[in-house]
Amino acid sequence: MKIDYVIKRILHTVLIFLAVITLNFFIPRIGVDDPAERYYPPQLGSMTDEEYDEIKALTREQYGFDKSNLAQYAEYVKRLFSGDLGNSFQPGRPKVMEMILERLPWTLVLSVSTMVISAFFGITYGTFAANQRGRLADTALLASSTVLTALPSFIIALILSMVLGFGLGIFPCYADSEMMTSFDWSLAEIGNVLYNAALPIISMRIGGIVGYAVSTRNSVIVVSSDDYILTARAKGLSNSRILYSHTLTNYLLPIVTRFMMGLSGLIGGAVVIEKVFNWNGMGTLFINANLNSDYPLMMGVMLFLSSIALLANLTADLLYFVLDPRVQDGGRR
Amino acid sequence: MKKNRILLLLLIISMGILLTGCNQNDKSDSRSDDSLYVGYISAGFPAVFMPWLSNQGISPTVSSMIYSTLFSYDEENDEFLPVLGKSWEYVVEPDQVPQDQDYLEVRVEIDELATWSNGTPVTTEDIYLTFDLASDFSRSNHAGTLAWTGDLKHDYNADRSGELVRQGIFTVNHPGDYEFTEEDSNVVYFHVDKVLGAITPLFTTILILPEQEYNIISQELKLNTTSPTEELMYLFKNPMGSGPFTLNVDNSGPGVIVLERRDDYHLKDDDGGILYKVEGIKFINYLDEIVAINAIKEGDIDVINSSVSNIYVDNLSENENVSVDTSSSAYVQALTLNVNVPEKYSTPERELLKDPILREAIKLAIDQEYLISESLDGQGSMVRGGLFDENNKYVNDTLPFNKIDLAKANQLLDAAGYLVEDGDKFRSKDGVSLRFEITSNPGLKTTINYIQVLFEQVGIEIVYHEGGNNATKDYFYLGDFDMTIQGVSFIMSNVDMMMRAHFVTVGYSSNYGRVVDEDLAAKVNEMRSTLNYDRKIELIKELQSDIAALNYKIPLYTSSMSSAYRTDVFSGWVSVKGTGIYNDESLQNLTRRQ
Repeated sequence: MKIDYVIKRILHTVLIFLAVITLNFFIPRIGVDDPAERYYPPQLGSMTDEEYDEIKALTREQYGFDKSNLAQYAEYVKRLFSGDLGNSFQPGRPKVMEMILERLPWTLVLSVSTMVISAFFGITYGTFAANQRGRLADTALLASSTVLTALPSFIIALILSMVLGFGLGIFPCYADSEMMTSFDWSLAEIGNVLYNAALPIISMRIGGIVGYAVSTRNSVIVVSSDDYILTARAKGLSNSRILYSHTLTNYLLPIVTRFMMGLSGLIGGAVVIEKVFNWNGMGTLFINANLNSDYPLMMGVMLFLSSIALLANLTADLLYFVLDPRVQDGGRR
Repeated sequence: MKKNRILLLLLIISMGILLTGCNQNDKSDSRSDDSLYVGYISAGFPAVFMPWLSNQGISPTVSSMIYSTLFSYDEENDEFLPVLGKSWEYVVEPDQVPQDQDYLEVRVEIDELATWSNGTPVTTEDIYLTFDLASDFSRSNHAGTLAWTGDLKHDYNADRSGELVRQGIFTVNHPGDYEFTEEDSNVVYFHVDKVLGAITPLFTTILILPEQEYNIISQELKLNTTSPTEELMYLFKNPMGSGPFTLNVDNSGPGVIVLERRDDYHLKDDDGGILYKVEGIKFINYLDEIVAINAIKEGDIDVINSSVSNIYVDNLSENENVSVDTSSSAYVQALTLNVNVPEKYSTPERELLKDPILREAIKLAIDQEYLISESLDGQGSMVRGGLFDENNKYVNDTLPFNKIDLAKANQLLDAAGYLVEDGDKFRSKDGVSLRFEITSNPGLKTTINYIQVLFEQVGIEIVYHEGGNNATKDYFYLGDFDMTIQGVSFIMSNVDMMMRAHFVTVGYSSNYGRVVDEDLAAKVNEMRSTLNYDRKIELIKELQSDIAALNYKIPLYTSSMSSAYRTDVFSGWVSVKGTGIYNDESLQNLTRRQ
């Protein structure tokens, strides 16, 4: 049963991945009469109709558009499984995978930091607030959550940039572009990256911390009133023993879900923050691909983000399996 | 009570900080090098530089600093200035060319001091390979980027399979019918079908490639292959040019491009010294204009390489170290009407635009002075109907400026049966309302709002419609729009190509509104093919009258460009019309302040 669950989840993920690949291939082709015209729109009337026909024929041959859609799809899948996301339309045809890998670390700096920070502070404060139920710490959390979770992160970003950046000069208002090209893993450089990333991280995570805190608080309160916790109390176990041995493992489940969902969203969801703080990450890469109708790059980024989302979901499912005995027993408990 | 006071005090302090706005921590003094820092607003810098195909964003700017053309061109004086080409001459002057000869022979001498950045000399083989590749779709498939090679008098085989029967370019190793002497080793002959001025782009836009690297290009390994080999990708990532700067590959990336000056560049200043005074250029990418504005105020950059929005000009001017230069743009903004809609996109409203009376009424409803004062805050100038901007030496100044005449416009529309039905605000004819969309990017929305106000007065309803980011691909080419606002730039050196694009080629072309006028097309073609310079000028001026009479592209204004630059780090900025303050002349004049 245990192995069945794991295999089922993995197969489920593989099936969804195949569906994503298929959609990723066919969606950009919807409504396109001749893909060669998208690749090479006529430029400034500089060509006669015959010249343009000639160049389109060459383009079709070059890109394989002269083959059937199914044949192209088979070729696409074959390339994908050899790790080739294709070449961008950008002049010189740089490899999509290289372009993604160039930006990914800078997006991860923001996303991983923000996830860890918000999870750590959110869970800590949420647990504390649950224990202080009805007191100032708890009331303050509930009161602020409405505002902070509703406030768009770019508004927070602009305010922080104005106050902590321009006003007090504590943090840079926009990232140092040279830092991103000359990074060398020295302590000074790492410090510089964190210094530059401070405002984007805080902007992205103020709402996140509150979200985690509220979610943790609610979980702890629900779990704390379960029968087995009351039994533990009746047995005379200490509060910390109850918290770490009984409550924690149970309220972790929704937190794991939140963490993994957040991870998949954060990689591509920092577009506005990247723009406000001039951070060259995946978000701006995707926007750039869109603006330039760079379909291979768009498809590559989409596939990459979808894969991360699927992996995050699979990891969450498997963690459920580890953390919750009910899942291990197929829900028979 | 006491707690409330503290909270209030904190609030006031916070508000104070917010209102003080940007803290002027000037960083310009703490620069670690003598490079010129140039701010660029885009979604990111490219990683590779294939000089011919890099025609978007910052790529052409960077490529033109790494690679060289044969000549540069002084539009004002109709004069070629040496770059890789040292001198040029017609073998036979245009007025003495035999009647049956439909081309001119141009002799170009290559500068023997010109070198590639690896120190090897630039040779005629480089020139030959470049033009040979540029003319050959089967190897370069450049799709019009190098359309200027059409000015070469090539002969193709009859079935248009792309094979060249006779080249329009000759060198000592590719002599054709020429007899080269020993002294001709640095000489290239071109056969061209245009006269001076019109052939300019051939010599001033095509960046010369090193034969030693690009001789690998073949029909099997095309220049713009969809899957470049490692060898080809290396060339694109590590460009070797003959220009005044080289790319520092290691320190360049999506957010910054570093160019270093070549001290062995063959062109020198008048005193024999280094031509470009800045030691290096760092292009810094900003994802948003406001960040670039803050960066120049902070002293992180010396200049912004694009026109800044009017709303920031006053704010920038408050900084004592930042100046804003205002110069005329090279573009005329024209209201372009879709007068010949493809069947697929035809609508009853669009069909109405074929009516010349309606088009004339539309022209009469446009008030250029009002648009300039209201939508540009006065930062623009009026334009005549021929679409040449007023500073152009070939503008036909006998043409009157378009003037608003609402009474006449209403009179014309009434007489033509465009009437306002009872209870309606706008006109209609045969049940079709005069309701048009202006498809445009959001940057022109303000102008469109004021056009709405003007057109309401003649009973025409205008609605803004947001077009895609790439107008050519998204709606121009398709012909899927009612009206749009289009930047038109006609100068002597592009008039052959651009007049054809705007008024001759239909079908696959991007002539935008697809006007079909045989007389106009014939005159444009005559202007393009004449080898008589004076006749060419005469035709260019006549064409302006013909263009104005069609009311197909109706001029709105020429807007001014505002360039922001710092004055505390470098001195010697030069403002150039159409390009603003960041330009080649500035780079040759700028000196670092002590």
